[in-house]
Amino acid sequence: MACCLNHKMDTVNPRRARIRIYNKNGHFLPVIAGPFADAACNTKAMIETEFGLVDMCIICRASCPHKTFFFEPDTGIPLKCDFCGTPPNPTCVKVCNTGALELIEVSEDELF
Amino acid sequence: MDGWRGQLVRINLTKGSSKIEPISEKILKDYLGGRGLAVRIYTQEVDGDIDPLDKKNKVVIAAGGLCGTATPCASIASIVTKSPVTNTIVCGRMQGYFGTELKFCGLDAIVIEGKAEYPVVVFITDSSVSIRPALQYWGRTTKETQRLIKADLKDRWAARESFIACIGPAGEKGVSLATLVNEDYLVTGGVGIGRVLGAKNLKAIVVKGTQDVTVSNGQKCLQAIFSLKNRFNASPFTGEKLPKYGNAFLLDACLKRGVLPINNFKGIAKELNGIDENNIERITHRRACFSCPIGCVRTVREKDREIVGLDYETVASFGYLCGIDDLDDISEIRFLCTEFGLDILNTASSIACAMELYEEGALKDMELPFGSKNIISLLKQIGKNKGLGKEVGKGGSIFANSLNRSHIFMGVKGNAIPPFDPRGLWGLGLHMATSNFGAYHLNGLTVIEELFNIHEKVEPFLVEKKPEFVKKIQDMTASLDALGICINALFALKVNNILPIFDFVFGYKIDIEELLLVGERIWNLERLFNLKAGLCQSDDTLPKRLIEEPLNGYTCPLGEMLPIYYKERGWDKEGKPKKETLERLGLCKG
Repeated sequence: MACCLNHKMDTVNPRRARIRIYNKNGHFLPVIAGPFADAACNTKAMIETEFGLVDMCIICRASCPHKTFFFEPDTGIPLKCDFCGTPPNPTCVKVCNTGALELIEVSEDELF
Repeated sequence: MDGWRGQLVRINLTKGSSKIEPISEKILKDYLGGRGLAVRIYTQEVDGDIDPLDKKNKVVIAAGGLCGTATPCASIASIVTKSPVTNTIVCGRMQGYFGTELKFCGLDAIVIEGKAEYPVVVFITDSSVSIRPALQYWGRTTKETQRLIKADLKDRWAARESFIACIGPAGEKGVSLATLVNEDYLVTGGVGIGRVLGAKNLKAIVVKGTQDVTVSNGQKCLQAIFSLKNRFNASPFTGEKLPKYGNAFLLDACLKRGVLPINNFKGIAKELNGIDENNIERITHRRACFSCPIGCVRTVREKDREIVGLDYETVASFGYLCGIDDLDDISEIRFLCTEFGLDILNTASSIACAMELYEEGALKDMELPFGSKNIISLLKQIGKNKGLGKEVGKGGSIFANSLNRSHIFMGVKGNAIPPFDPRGLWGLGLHMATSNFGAYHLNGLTVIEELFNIHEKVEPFLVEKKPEFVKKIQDMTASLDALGICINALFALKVNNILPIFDFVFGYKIDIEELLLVGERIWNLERLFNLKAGLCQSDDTLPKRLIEEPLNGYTCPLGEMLPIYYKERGWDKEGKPKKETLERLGLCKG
C-alpha cells in the first residue's frame, strides 16, 4: 500500500504493490517483484524450511506468465521492485512498524 | 472522487439480480462512510417496525471512509441491520481486511435485500457480482466454509487475495446469538446479524478487488502516515501494552479499580484467577488488521488450527463472568464461538445466566455451576441449536424470562453488558443505558478516559459532568466508526490528530466540531429508528442489580444522570429528539 502510494501518484492499491507477504503456518515470507521472465519455468520444486514444505513457485521472485500477481491489474504490465531509488530506501521497510521487514545487503560470497 | 468510491451495489437475493448505484457526494460528506453511511442507507429504506427476519428487512455493509487509504488503524467496516435479539438497529464491527477490499472493488457499500430460495454465496469482483448456489457449504463451520470456497476458486493466487465474510451453523439454524465471521475475526457488536443472514439464505460474501483508491495528495498522505506511526510507537499503550498483551491489559486495570465483575455481576474479582495478561502473552502470537501499526489481535497457533482473538472481552466474560479459570478452555471456547459464528459477549452472558439459574436451583437440565467444564458441551449445543442450548441460544433476556427470572439477565435492550461493572464506571453505565445497540462498549469506549485519564481528567464519581463527557465520547466514536478507524487508536491519539489526514485524502478541511456533528447526526438517526421500532424512555435503563445493589458503597446513579443527558443531547423528557435538534443536524424531512 505504501509501496503503491510512493510509486503511483495519489493512488492506493495493494494489487500494484511490488512486495507480497506469503503466510505459511503463521510464518510470513516477504516476496518482492524481481525481473520478468517471458516463460514459466518447469521446476515444480518444494523447498523444506524450518516450518514445513513451501512451494518454491510462490516464493520465487521472478514474475512470469504463470503467476497472476506482480502485474498492474489494469494494464497487465509487469511490476518490478526498484528499492525506491538509489541508494536503496524502501518505503515498505520504513512503514513496517514491527521491524519485520529489513533491507539486508548480501554479497555473493556469503550466499554460497 | 478522492478517498471514497461513490457507489454501492444493491443485491436482490429474491430475484438474483444486482445493480450498481451512485452515492451522492453530499451524503458521503454528511455521513463519511462506514457506520454513518450504513445507518443512513438502512434507516432510509427500512421501516422501524419491520420484523428483523422478514424478507423485506435489509442488511447494509459499508466500508469506513478512510479504509483502503493507508491511514493507520483504518480497517473497520460496519454491518447494519435490525437485530432479532434487541429489536433495535445494531451495527457489527468487521475488523480485518474485508472493508478495505470492498473499497478496492470500487464500492463503498453493499445493500442486501430479499431472500434466496436456496443457500447462496455472493461473489463480488471489481464491481461485478455473481450469485452462486452454496449447498455444498451449507452446514459447514466458518473455517471449513472459507477453505472450501477458496479451494473452489480456480486461481490459487486470486484465492489468497479474496476475503470472505460468512455465517456459521448457528446462523443457519436460527440461533439468535449468531453473528458472522470475516476471515478469522468474529464480528463484534452484531448480535443476531448471523440469524438475519441465515434467514436470507446467504451463506457468505466473497470480495476481491483490484481497483485503485485515489487520494488527493499522496506524498503528504505518506508523510502524515509516518508521523501518526511515530505517535503510535511513542504511546505506552499502543506502543507497548496493546502489541504485547492485546487489550487484555485492561484486566489488571479493571481489577485495581474494582470493576472486574465475576459470576454474572454478583461480585467483583479480588484477585486474578490465573487468567492474566502475562499468561495470555505466553501462549499467543500477534496479528494485525489491514494497515494497523498496533497489531493487538492475539492468536493461539496450534499445529493444525489458529485461534484468533483472545481479547479482553473473551477472557473477562468467560474467565470471570462464567468463572472458567483455565486459559486452554477459554481458547477452546473462543475457537468454538468462531467456528459456529456466535457473538462472544452475548453467549457468555447467556451462559452466565444459565449458571446462576442452576445455582439457584431453577435449572436442572445440566450440571452447570460457575466455572463448570460443561460449558464446552453447552456451547456445542447452542451452536447446533439442540437440547438446553436451544433455550440458552435464544439470548439471555428471553431465556431468563422463560424461567420467570428476568432480573438475572445482565443486559440492556436484550444486549449483554460487557465485563465492566458500571457501579464503578458511571460514564460507561450511562453510555450502556442509552446506547442505541443495547449495552455495548465499543460504540462509546468511555473506559479509556475513565480508567486511564489519557487525554482528560475524569472525576470518577461526579454526576453533573458525566452526561456531557458521555455524549462527547459517543459522538466521537460514531464519527470514528464512520471513518473506519479502530477505537484502539484513541489510546494514542486525540481526534484532532486525525484531522490533517482529511485534507490529504478527501481534499477538504474539517474541524473538530464538524466531525463531532457527524457523530451526533449518526447517533440521532439511530435513535429515531429505535423510537419507530417501539423503544421508549423506559428501555434506557440498567439491570436492577446494578442500580439497587451497592458495590463498595456505590450504585450507578442512572436516574440522576439520565435527565441531564437528555437535555445535553437536545431531547425531550421522553428521550425523543426535539425539532430544533433535528433541524440543527439537518435530519428534518422535507
